[in-house]
Amino acid sequence: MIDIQNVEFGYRRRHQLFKDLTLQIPTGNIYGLLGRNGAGKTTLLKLISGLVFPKGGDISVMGYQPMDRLPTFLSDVFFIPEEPHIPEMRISRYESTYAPFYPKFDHAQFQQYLVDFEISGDQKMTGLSYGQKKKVIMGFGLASNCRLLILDEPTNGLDIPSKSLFRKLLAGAINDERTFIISTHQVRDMGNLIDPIIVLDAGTIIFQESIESIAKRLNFELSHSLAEPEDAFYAERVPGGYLAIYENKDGEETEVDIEVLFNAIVSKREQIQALFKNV
Amino acid sequence: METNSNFSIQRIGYLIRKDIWESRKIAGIIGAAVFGLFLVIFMSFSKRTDETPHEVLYPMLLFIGGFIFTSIIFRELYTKARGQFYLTLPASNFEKFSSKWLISAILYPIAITIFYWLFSIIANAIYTYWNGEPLVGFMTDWMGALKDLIPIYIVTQAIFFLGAITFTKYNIFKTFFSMFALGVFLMTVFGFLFRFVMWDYFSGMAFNPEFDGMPLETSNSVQVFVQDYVLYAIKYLFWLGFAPFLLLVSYFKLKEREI
Repeated sequence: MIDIQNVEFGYRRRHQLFKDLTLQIPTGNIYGLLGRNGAGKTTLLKLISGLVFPKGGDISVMGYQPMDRLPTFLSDVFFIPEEPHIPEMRISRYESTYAPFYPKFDHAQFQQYLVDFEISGDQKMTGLSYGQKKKVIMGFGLASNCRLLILDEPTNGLDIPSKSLFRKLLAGAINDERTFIISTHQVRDMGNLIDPIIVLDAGTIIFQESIESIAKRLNFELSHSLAEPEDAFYAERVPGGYLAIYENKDGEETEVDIEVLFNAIVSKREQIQALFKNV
Repeated sequence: METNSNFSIQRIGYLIRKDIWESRKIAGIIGAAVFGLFLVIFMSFSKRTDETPHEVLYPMLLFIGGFIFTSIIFRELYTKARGQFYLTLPASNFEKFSSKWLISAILYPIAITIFYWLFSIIANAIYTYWNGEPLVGFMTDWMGALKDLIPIYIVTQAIFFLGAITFTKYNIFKTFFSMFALGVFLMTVFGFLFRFVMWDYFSGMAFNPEFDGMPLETSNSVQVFVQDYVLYAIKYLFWLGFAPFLLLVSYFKLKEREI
């Protein structure tokens, strides 16, 4: 679905954010794009959606060059930024104004999302809370039935029940034809949802693996000892002990802790990369 | 809806409808304010003066109002969130460009002409009530002038259209400043060129074609050349080349816009 080859990009001529960035994203998954602040996550999403143009290399999304911004391409991509634009109109008017641009938009589906999120279609968009606004936009994006849904920090501003509902709706909306890319810092909100995981660091993809592949290679264990585990790849202090990552030698799979994994990838990049290359 | 083509009249219609709906409140507020202000100005006119209020108010609304309106026609692009939303809205760059041009160059003059016509009827009725006799009507007096003014507006608004897509803040002032700077630059360049080409016909900085033994027929031929060819070329350049050139640049600026 997405093929990024040797892309170069920088907001300033002297400061290149991406040098030779290469990434392939096949269809049918909910990808988690993780990275530290300033790693280039949002810029990568913008490159994919055609909001910024690469200075070199090629980007192909569903066979289109995003920078052409063709209607056929745009009607199959829905980008929800961290701070989405909220026009001054009622939700029903928003639906009737913008839905015609999306040929696969399902009005009944959108109404159902509003019911699920407990939001009335008569409400004014600007009168909603930050979380409610995000819910409306996410519901609209899901109901657009675009093949590519891009979400930048979607759970920011959502309350706990809404985060759970959001995960449920997203999991229910994915199919073999669609791809969702979620860029987030809130990895705990994304547990059991994002798979595979892509880690971007300093403009480079340093990790791209499925949860299954991670579980086959790594074990995540909570050690109640106060001493740091010596044979662990990576360990971090948690209340009551250490949460450690070990090489999975016995083939027994444990639940992947994405937050700890991310910290391990960032701090022990070479070892983790070597492990995934070797096995 | 068919999305296979890059140009769909239907999508342009959706874009125009979106813009009109989003601007309806501010248009209503500004319309009411302009109506009140114009009514005061209208009442200050006397039947004895040669000028009619239409000669002042309508061009003011068409040109000043139109240039201000055109300067903010791409206001979606001035903020990050709105710009991202607009640029990812499923319509081609050409459709977005066309919808903005149609609103600012075609629909605006139509809308303000209707607005002003209604205003003139109401204002004339109030004027008649106060003064016992009406001022000259807008349509009876001004139908001829409209066909001259509106084409000039359509051409000149292209400058502000380009300003709207080029600048993101204080667009109208930046457009005026750019026009002034460009005007000074062109006058300087052409002034120097003219001075050097017509070197023999200058006395100091004064241009006198008949000075210093220049034959009368040569002097006349320069005049004829300027009148028949240069002014003719400028006229055609203005009507046929000026706006299309600026609009073409505006289109590419929109196409290359990144947010």
